[in-house]
Amino acid sequence: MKQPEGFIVPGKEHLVCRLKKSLCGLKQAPRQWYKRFYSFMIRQSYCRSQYDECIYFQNGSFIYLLLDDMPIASRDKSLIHKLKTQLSNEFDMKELRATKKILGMEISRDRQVGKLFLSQQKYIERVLDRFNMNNCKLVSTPLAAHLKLSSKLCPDTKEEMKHMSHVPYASAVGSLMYAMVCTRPDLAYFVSMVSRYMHNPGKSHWSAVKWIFRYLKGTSGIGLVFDRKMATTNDVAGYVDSDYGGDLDR
Amino acid sequence: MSTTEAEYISTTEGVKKAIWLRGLVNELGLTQGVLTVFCDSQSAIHLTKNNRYHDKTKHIDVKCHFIRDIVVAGEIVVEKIHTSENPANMLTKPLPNTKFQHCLDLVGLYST
Repeated sequence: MKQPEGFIVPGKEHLVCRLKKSLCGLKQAPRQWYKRFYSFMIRQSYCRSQYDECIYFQNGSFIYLLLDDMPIASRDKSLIHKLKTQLSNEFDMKELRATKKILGMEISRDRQVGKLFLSQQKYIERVLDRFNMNNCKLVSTPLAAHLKLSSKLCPDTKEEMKHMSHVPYASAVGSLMYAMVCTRPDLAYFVSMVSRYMHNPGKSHWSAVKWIFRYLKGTSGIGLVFDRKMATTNDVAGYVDSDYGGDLDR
Repeated sequence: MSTTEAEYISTTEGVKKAIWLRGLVNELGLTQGVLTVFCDSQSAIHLTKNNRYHDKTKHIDVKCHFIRDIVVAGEIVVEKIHTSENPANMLTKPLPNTKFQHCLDLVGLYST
């Protein structure tokens, strides 16, 4: 490390500067921001969730910290208003009213029938555009049974590897993964399949990825629906399954 | 390794997730009773309930048997569900279109 230009002390060039305050862009900065926000919320007598350390709550109202976005949820509008005033006294912030979009997810609500709809149509369209899959033909399932992927299909000659090195495999899988994590659990199996060959993808792996894009093209508008009528109990239910016989690489 | 073992391991993973989700949802103000994990393999369900030593299951990793403690304590119930009604089915293999659409309905993925 060197002393910054214009602040060099003659005769003491071997010394470095000591920071008294966190700077934006340093690797320590996110931690400092989290600590600052945490101590502020504790002062407002909010509790931090034990299970997700970005959720703070206080009798029925919640705030979720997403770096610098903070959706607030509460049964009582006055509580939301109170928290907003407290926050704006402490931080510079902009109020965006009812949440329409967060992390690329579009939120639409129908309060009369009690439905909440999460989708990523814009995001998916942008991804399709980036990989030039806008005009592809549609398919109805995200991976057909005839595309049997295994590590045997990985390229082993130099030519094939060179050919595959021009393919943006990892970034395509990454884009799919983001959609999967947010609103598209239907992609989960297929993304897990194609991401197994990230280290050395072959031509057939890439065509499987393109197949998923073709499925996405036809279903970009679908998303998760949370329906009040469908919720029979408050209890969480889980479903598990596994497939050992079908795994070619076992 | 056998299919039963694979199902047993995935049940254990499901239960682990269920324990975390119960805590989170509890904190969000929805009090949780006994949780249910649905599994479509009868043999894996029996393994979670039957606390006996057996030669044929001797090789299963000991860490997976933690699900037995949870089931004995009554915190979580493992129940049988038919494969065709199990939404997790679409996460294990490529399905024909009709079955796939049925799974999408089960998890609540619709178009507007």
